[in-house]
Amino acid sequence: MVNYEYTEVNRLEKPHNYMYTSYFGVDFFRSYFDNRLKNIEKFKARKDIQNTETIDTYFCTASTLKLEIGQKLLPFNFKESIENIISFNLKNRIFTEKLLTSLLVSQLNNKNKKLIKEWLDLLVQRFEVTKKIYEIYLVGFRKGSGDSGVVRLYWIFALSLALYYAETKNIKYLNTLLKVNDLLCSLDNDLMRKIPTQGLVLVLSVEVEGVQLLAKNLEGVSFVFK
Amino acid sequence: MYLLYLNKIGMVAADTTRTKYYLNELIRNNLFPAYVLLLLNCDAKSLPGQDGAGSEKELIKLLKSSGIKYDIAPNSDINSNEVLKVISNKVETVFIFSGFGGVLLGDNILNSGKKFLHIHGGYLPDYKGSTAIYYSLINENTIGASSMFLTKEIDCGPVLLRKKFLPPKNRLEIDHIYDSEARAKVLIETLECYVESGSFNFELENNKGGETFYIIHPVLKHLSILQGEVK
Repeated sequence: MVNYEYTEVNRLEKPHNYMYTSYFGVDFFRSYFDNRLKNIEKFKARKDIQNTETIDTYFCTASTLKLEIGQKLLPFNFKESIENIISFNLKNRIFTEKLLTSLLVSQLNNKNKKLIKEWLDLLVQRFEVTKKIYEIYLVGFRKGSGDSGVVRLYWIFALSLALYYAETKNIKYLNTLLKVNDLLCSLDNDLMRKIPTQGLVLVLSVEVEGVQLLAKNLEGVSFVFK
Repeated sequence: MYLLYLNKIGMVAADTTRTKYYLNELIRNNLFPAYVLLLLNCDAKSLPGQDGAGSEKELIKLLKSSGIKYDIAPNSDINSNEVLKVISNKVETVFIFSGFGGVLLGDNILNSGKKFLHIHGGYLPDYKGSTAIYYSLINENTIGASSMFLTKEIDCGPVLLRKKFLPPKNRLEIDHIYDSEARAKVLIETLECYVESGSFNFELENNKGGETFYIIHPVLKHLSILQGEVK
């Protein structure tokens, strides 16, 4: 069986550049689907999940409802203040967590679509070039600063990509989602103790469904993935 | 045989399969660059765009046999001061650019007073960025190529010519054959237009908008290849 090498080692420590990857035929899909199934099971089997952030649980539920029945944002009342996406400006230093939560709320609300794409594209560009998401981006959003190992940021980014791909079907975002999910799947469970299981399963499910849909007419690629 | 030396046009060429394609097509169509600066990979490890060993010798043989003047660059880095000096001192004003995969031109070389003619592997402005050919195969079952002059913003320079092509029959050789083939066709047509009109004319001066893609994930790459074998 073909090896799915993209999650084999910690991709925060050893990023993959995905350049000139080899072709393995239909068998590659078998190893890909197998990998994702194993990781969903791995996430579900986690026993040491710590208290997840209320807002993250909320994001999971709201995203699931949006993806499944198209429901808009549920009412919420958090102690954390979520900034409006219009308040972010490239002339300022950007705190990625604030940007990502604001982006998600806008996506769940179906508001500010132009700004959603602009900011998501900037994040995609930064991730694709460096394979990292930094805690802070300096003025101009080119140079990252602070910790680039905050797993929660990668997960929220994956959720944002999943929502955007589900809405637009633009494979550019599925492409980055695949890479961010490779990274998440490459990490040990203990690095993801604060991320809700439902949230990890959700980002992988959207990705796999997207791939299945694109592969539905391909000879030999008909894997049942529940 | 009538050979056309493009007096004002040189070429900066890394030893890649794409360069080999370009040179073969230029020679076959009697469009000879006045000068070629070869960027050779001195490392044992292949650089992006290289497909095995021996391309360096093949390129030199090709240049010698066709009588095209060439130099070997002092190093393989197009952005180095040494390479910049060589290019700046040449009389050619336009250089066909065929570098190693993923290499971007820095400010120094872009501001050297020379123009760099690049053939992008995608139909602009719709498909900017990397491995666009695979994305267009998935989206619309075509491959594209566009000629443009390089600017600081990636794939945003004014477009001279753009074309869409039917998908290749054998999708296993996209990286090293069909992508290069599509780009070479656009390069030749661009130069033929230049020779005919005496100047570079733009099909799309305002190359704004579109979508920027990034290196395709192997899952999507497999999809685009296997789509050629649908049930």
